This record gives sequence, structure tokens and C-alpha cells, in this order.
Amino acid sequence: MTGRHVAGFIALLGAAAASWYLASSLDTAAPPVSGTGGIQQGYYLRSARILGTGDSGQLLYEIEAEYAEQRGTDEIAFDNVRIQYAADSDIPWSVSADQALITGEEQHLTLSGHVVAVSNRGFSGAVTEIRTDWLELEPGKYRAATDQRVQIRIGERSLTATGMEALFDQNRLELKSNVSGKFVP
Amino acid sequence: SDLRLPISLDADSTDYDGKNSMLMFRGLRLTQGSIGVEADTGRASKLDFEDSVWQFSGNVRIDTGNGQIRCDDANLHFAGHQLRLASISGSPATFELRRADSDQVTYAEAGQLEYNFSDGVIEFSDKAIITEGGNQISSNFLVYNIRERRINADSSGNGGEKVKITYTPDSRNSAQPQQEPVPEAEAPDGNGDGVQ
Repeated sequence: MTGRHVAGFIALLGAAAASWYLASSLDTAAPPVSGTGGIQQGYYLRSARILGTGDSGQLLYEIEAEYAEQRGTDEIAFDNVRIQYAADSDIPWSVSADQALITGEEQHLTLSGHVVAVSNRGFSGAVTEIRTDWLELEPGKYRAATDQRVQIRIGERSLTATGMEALFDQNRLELKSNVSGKFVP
Repeated sequence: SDLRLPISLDADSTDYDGKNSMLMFRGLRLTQGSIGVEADTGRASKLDFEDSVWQFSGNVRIDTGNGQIRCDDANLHFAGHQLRLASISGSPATFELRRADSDQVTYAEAGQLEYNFSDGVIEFSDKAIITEGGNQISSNFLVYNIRERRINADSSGNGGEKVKITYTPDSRNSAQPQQEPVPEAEAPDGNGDGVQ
């Protein structure tokens, strides 16, 4: 093996070592971990519309939102949301709020920010409006509850209270404490 | 007067039952100026005082500014945002009245009271007794006109309880007996054998 061969062999060996080094350094960057500023799994929707069904699959309520985004594995967050019962469900109530969060399978919504529940055939058959800042809504059970301050307007009269539970299908309402109202002629 | 003032409502809690359109309040207090009503529970078919009846029950207390009623149950009839009539029952229901111009307290009790707030007249029935100063009048049926300080007494006749009056001269001024403004007891214009 002549001197020229040896020099060529050494040069070849150096090139191989360099390319191995280059390949391994490029390979060390670990894949980005989700949630630490990297690309998140999940979806988002604009002008979202979600239909909720009853036990026998019939349309029960509809959720409309300007924006909806999946959070984690079983949460969906909504902005500017409105929930309306289906016309033939005989539940003439609709609920709107700045934000809402659906958690888990059992159709449980937490509404927050300017929460307003309205019915034009509410309690005493009068236009009824419930206002609060925070509300738990279980549309499938027709149930809405809060432990916050709430204002109820029935017709032209209104009461405020702390804590409330409403059962829309039974047309029942319970104001838990600190009930007060002022009535002017 | 108090009657057109706002009405304030306070309660410990409230239930609304849509099936029979009934509002039920626990620990209810209603006030309008110097008139106040409170009870363990209160029910109303409408959240309204234009034309409604509010049923109070359990430790009912009605304050009328210069008077006070304690009873078991009271149905308050509101019309045009004014308390018009109170149908009261108790065992017995009691009524106390303090007058600004006198330190005497008029005290009355009966099983039933009908208080007409517009006229200022109270009908006492079912073992009715009115006491003022040392004087007492009892019968089955007494009508007390608060403004005119007049009592109409009526017995139920046909062997029923007679009207009974106990008059006690004022012993403090026995030397110069002064005529205390004793409420005039009048025979009613009906045919009962009232008192003259």
C-alpha cells in the first residue's frame, strides 16, 4: 500500500468521521413537548354550532358560539356563547354568556361573564330573566344553578338573592338566601 | 302618606313553583314606610301589589306605625300598591294601639280580626275583648273605629254571649273626677241588643 494510498485512506476516514459527527449533532434536538410553547394538539372552531340530543336521540338544545376551542382531552371552551332549547322541547328558555366551558361527557356547562337566561313564557307565564355572573348549566337535566348573586325579573318585578337553582322543565325556581326586592307603584 | 311609598321585600329564601304559580317565601319581611309585616312564611300568587293577596303564617307580626298586631295567620289584600285589608286569625290574635296624645295603650284580642286600613276600622270576632285604661268591653263581635275612638258592640243574640262592659273610674283623680275620653260605646244600627 503506497504512501499515496495511505494518505487517501486517511482523508476518507476523516470525511467519514466528520459526516458521522454532523449527523449525530443534528439528531440530538428532542422532539418539542406539547404544552411547553410547542404546537398544541386539538381543534378550534369559529361560528361554532353544537347540537345536544336527548336520551332518545332527539334534538334537545343547540349551542352557538363565536369561537370554540378544545382544551385538554375533554374540555371545550367557548366565547360569546348562546344555548337555546329546541323549539319542540317546550322549554322556552335561552341562556347567553361571555364564556362557557363544557366538561366531560355528561353535558355540564360552566357559564361566566354577563350570564343571562331569558324566557318569554317563564315564571307566572311572564317574561322572565335571570342575570348572574356565573352559572352551572346542565341542559340535559334542564337545570341551572349558581351560588353567586343573582337577579330574577318576573314581568316588571325583580328580586335579587344569593344562590339560585332553576329547573326549567318543572318551571321551578329556588332562591337560596338574602332575597330582597323593592317595588314602586 | 305611607301608602304610595315603595314596598321593600326581604326574605331568607324563596321557592317558585310554576305548576301552581305560587311564590313561597321563608322568613318574609315586607315594609312600606312605617307599616311592616313579617312572618315565618309568606305566599303570593304574583310578585305584585297592584291586585294580590299575600298569605302570611307563623309568628305573624304587623306593625302599623302606632299599633301592632300579633297573630298566627294573616291574609293581606293589596290593591293599587296599597295595603287595603288584613284578614287575621290567632289564638287569640292581639292588637295594641298607642296614641300620640295619651300614654294609655288600647289592647284588644280576639280569634278573628278584619282590619280595614283604608277606613281605619277593625272588626273583632270570636271572644273579642277591648281594654283601654281601666275599662274593658267584651262581646262576640266588636267594631273599633280607630280614628273616631268609637266601639260598636254587638252580641250574637239568641242566647249567645252578651256584651259586657267593665268601667273603672280613674282612681288617680278621685277628688276631681275628670272625664277621661272614654271611647263611646254605641248600639249598632242593626237589631242586636248593643250597649248605650
